Amino acid sequence: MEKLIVNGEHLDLYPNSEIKLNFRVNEISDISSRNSSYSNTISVPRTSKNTRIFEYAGVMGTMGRMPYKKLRCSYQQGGINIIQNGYLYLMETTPDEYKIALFDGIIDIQEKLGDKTLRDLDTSFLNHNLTRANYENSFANTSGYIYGVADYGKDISSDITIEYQSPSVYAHTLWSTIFSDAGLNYTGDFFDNNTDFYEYVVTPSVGYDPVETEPVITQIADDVEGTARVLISNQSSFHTKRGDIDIPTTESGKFTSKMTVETNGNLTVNYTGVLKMRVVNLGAKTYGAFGVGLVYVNEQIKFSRNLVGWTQAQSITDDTYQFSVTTGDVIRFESLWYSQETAPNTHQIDSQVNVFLELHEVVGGFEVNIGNTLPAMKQTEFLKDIMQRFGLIMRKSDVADTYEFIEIEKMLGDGSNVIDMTSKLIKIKSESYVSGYAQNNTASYKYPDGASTTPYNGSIVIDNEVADVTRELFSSPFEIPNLKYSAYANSIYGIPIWEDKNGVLDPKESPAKYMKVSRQTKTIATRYFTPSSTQNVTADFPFLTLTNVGYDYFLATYYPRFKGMLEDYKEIEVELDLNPIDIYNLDFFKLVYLKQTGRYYYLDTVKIGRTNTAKLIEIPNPNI
Amino acid sequence: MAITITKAPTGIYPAYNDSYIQFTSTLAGHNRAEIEVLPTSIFPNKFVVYPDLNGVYTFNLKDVVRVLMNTDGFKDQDTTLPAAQFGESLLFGYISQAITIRVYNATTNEFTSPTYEFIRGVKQIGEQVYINPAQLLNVSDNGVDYNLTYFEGYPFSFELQRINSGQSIVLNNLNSGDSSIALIASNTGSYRFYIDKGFENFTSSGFLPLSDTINRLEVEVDAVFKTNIRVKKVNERCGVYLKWFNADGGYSYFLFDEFYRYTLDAGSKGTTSTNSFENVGSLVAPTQSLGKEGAEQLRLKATIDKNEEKLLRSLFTSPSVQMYTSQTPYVAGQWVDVEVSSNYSISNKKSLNEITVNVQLPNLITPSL
Repeated sequence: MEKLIVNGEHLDLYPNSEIKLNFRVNEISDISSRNSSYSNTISVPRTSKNTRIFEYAGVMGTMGRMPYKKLRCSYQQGGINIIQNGYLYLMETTPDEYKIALFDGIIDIQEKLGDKTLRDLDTSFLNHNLTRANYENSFANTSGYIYGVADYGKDISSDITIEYQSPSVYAHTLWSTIFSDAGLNYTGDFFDNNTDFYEYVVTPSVGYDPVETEPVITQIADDVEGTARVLISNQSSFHTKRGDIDIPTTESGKFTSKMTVETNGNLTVNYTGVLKMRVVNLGAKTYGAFGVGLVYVNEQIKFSRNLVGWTQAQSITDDTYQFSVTTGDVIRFESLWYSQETAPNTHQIDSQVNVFLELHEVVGGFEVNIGNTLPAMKQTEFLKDIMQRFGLIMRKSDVADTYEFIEIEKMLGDGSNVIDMTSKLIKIKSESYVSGYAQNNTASYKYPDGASTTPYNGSIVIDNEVADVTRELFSSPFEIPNLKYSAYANSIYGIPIWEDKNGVLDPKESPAKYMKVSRQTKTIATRYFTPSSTQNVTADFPFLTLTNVGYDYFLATYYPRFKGMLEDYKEIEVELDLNPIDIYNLDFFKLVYLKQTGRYYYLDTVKIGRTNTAKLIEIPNPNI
Repeated sequence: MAITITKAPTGIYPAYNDSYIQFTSTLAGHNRAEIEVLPTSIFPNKFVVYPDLNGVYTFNLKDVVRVLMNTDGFKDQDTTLPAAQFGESLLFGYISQAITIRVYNATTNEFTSPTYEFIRGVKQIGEQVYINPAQLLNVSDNGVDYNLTYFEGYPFSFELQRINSGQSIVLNNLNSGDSSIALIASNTGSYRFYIDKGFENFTSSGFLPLSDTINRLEVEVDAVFKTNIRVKKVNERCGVYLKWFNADGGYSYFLFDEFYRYTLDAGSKGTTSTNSFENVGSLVAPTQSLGKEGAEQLRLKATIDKNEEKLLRSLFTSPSVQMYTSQTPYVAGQWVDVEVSSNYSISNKKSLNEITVNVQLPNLITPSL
C-alpha cells in the first residue's frame, strides 16, 4: 500500500497509484553532473482533503502559495520509507486532479546554495592583521589561509615585499565552510583518508591597498582549558547529542578584566573591539559517526569545525579566529556528535572534547579581509570542480542535513562490498554499448590570453572506433598561471592581483588558480613596507606550484577503473523483482553482482513502478 | 457605507451544490474583497476576489464547505448508539458556518459577517431546497411526507435535518394513537431516530410500538407538527442488508433477497523467473508464481414497490455503501465497505419491479511473494 505524506498529512491517492520513481545518484553517461532521484508526474484526486493540504489550489479566490513552495514529503510502500525527506512540487491543477512530482536528494543542496559565490561565505574567521608575524606564521598552516610564494604583481626575484603577497585559502577550508554556512554536513572516508585533498589552495583573485599600521595585541587570557563532557548514549535509532564544553570558574584567574568566566561555563566579553581567539580542540571518540566543534557567539553559531571523522579515533584541530565583539557578547563552546550504528538498532555515541584557548584583544592594524580576495566563483561550481577532480559521487544521507561522498575509483574497486542481485533478476531486457563518451574525453583548464599550449589539460582516451572523436569531460573554472621566472631554485608563477601603474601598485582582478603548496627551506630576504625593514628569513617557505595540478594526474589517480569501465562499455537493462525493503535498502555506493552473467556492475539508475527496471554498467573485476 | 449581499445560499443548503454569494459595496473606490473562513487551522489564508465591471463580487462557498463536511469521507461518524434512548443529536453532517466578508479600497475597508447553514447533501436540476428544518434526510416530493421501509431485526434509523438544541421531539403513531416520550436535542444539528438498533427496536422496547403494516408516524417538534413518515414494517427475514449515504445527507437501508449469485474472480499476479543453475537431470521450473489476487462479487435482487424505487435510486450513485455481515435478523454483524455497480432499471407502469445490484466486496488478502 502506498502512502504519500506531505507536511505530516497523508494525501488521498487513487487505489493502485502507479508512482514511478527513478532512483539515481550519478548517471555514468554524464559524470560531470550529480543527479537527483525523481518521480514521474503523479495525479492525485482533488478530494477536499487534498484541496486543504494544497491550500485550496484551484479554488476560486485562493491566495495559497503551495504551488510555489517546495513541500517536504515522504513516500512509503508497505510502511517502508522509500523516499524520506524528499520534496514534492505541485505542478498543475485540473478540475478533478492535482498533478505533482517527487524529488529526493541532491536538489536540496543545489537549492540551498543557489547562486551564492565564494565571496558570500562567512570567512571572517580567516581575517587577520597584516603583520610580518602573521605572514611568517601562516607558512605552517595546513588549513585556513597561507601566504603562498608567488608573483602577485611585484617582482620577488631578489626579495619578497610582504604587503604585496596575498593569502591563498586551502580548498578543503572553502569546502567545509560552504557546508557549514549552509547548515549542512558531509561525510565519507575520502575526507579522513585522502591526503591530496588537503594540499591544494585557491589563490586570491583581487588585491587590496595595504596600509602600514601595526596592531596592538594585548593578551586577555592564555592556556585556558575548557572541561569536556563525555557523552555516552545508546539508543535504538539514529540521534545526535550535544555537549557543552564549559570553561570552569577556576580558570578565571587567567583572565584580564576584558573577559569574564561565568558560572555556567560561558565567557562574557567586557569590551567592544576585535578579539583574536586561538581554539585548539582535542577530540576523541570510541563510538560516533563524526563530531563537530562549535563556537557560539550570542547563541548564534560563529565557527564550526569538523572534529573526529568517521574512521578516526581522535583528532587535534588548531584554529585562530579574529572577529569583532561588543560588550556583553557571550561566547560558548559546544561539541555536536552524530551517532554510529554499531549493531542493528543500536546507535551509540561515546566521545570527549577538550578545548584550549588563547585570547587577545587586537587594536588597530590593517585587517586582511579574506572574503574580499576570494574569487566570485559560484559555490556550486567550486564543489562540482572538486568532485570532478577527485571522482567523488554524492548522495543524501539518512542523517539529517548530511551528504555522503565516495570516490568512484574506490567504489569500482571495492569487491568486498557488493550486492548480489542474482535472486532479484527477472530477466535481462537488453544490452547496449553506447556510453556517450568519445574516443578522447578531455578535462581542461582556463589559460591566460595568448597561451599557446595547454599542458595541464588531460584526457581519458578510449579505444572505441565507433564513438565520437572528442567530448568535453570537465571544464575547470580555474586558470593555469603563467610561469614568470625562476627564483630561489623554484618556478615562480604569476597571480597578477596587483598592477603597476606609474610606479603605484593598484589592485586588480585575476582569475582564480588551483595550486599546490610545496614547502622548502630557504633563506629569503623579506621586507615589510620600508627597505629598512628588510631581513633575511630562514623558514619553510610555501611555494605555490603546479605539481599534480594537471588533469592527467587526477584522471590517472582517480579514474583508472572508470576508464576501464568505458573501454569495453557494456550496459544492460534488467527487470528486477524488488520488494519495498529492497527498494529502501538500495545502495548506489555498492557494486552489483549477477551470477547469471558472472559479472560485476555499477548500479546506474533504478526505475520503480509496477515493474522495476535498472540500468547496470559492467565493470572489470573489482577484486583485481 | 454597507455591503449588500444580493445572492446567497438559502435555508439549510446542500453542501455539494454550488453555493454562490454575490455582493456589492457602497465603499468608494473599492477594488477587492477578502472572504475569511474559520478556523484558520483549516483555512490559513483568506480568499480574495475582485469585482466585475459593475462592482459585483462573486464567491463560491462550495469548496470551502466540502472541506468542512468531508472530515472522514462519507462514512457515518455518529456510530455510537445511545444506550437507553432511541434518539440522539448528531455531531456531523450539519454545519452553521459564519464567514467574514471584507471589502477594501485604497485606504479603508468595511465588513459583514453572514452565517449560512449547510447539510451534507446534493440537489439535482429541478429539485428544490425545502424549508422544513425537521424534514428527513431522505427522498421526498415536498420535504414533509416520507416513505420508509423498515426490516425488522436489522439496524435502521432516520435523520431529521436540523433540530435546535433544547427542542423536544415526539413521534406519534396515528394508526395506534400511541406517542413516544419526548426526546430533547442536546445540540443544534441533525437528529437521528433509531427504530432498530439491531439488538433492540421500538416495538420490543415499548418506546413506540409499530405494527407489521404501514405505520403512519408524525413528527412534532416543540409540540408543532413538522413531518409525516409512512414506515412500512417488514417482518424478520434473512437477506443481504445494505446501508448507503443518500443524496439528502442521511443514510438509507434495504434488505435484499437471501438468495443471490456469488462470484469469486481470481487472477495471477504474474510470475518471476528463477534460475537454479542446474543442468539436465536436475532441472526445475524456470518460473514461480508471485501469487494470486481475488475479488468477490454478489449479485443481489429484490422486489420493490413504487416508494422503494425512489429510495433505492441513490444507492447507485452513493459514494459510500456498506454491507451488514450478518444475513440473519437479530444477529449482530458489522458494516463493511463495498462497491456497487450495475444499472438501475425500472418500469413505472408496474406496481412492483425486480431490481438487481452487483456488490463488489473488499479484495481478498492473499499470500504473495
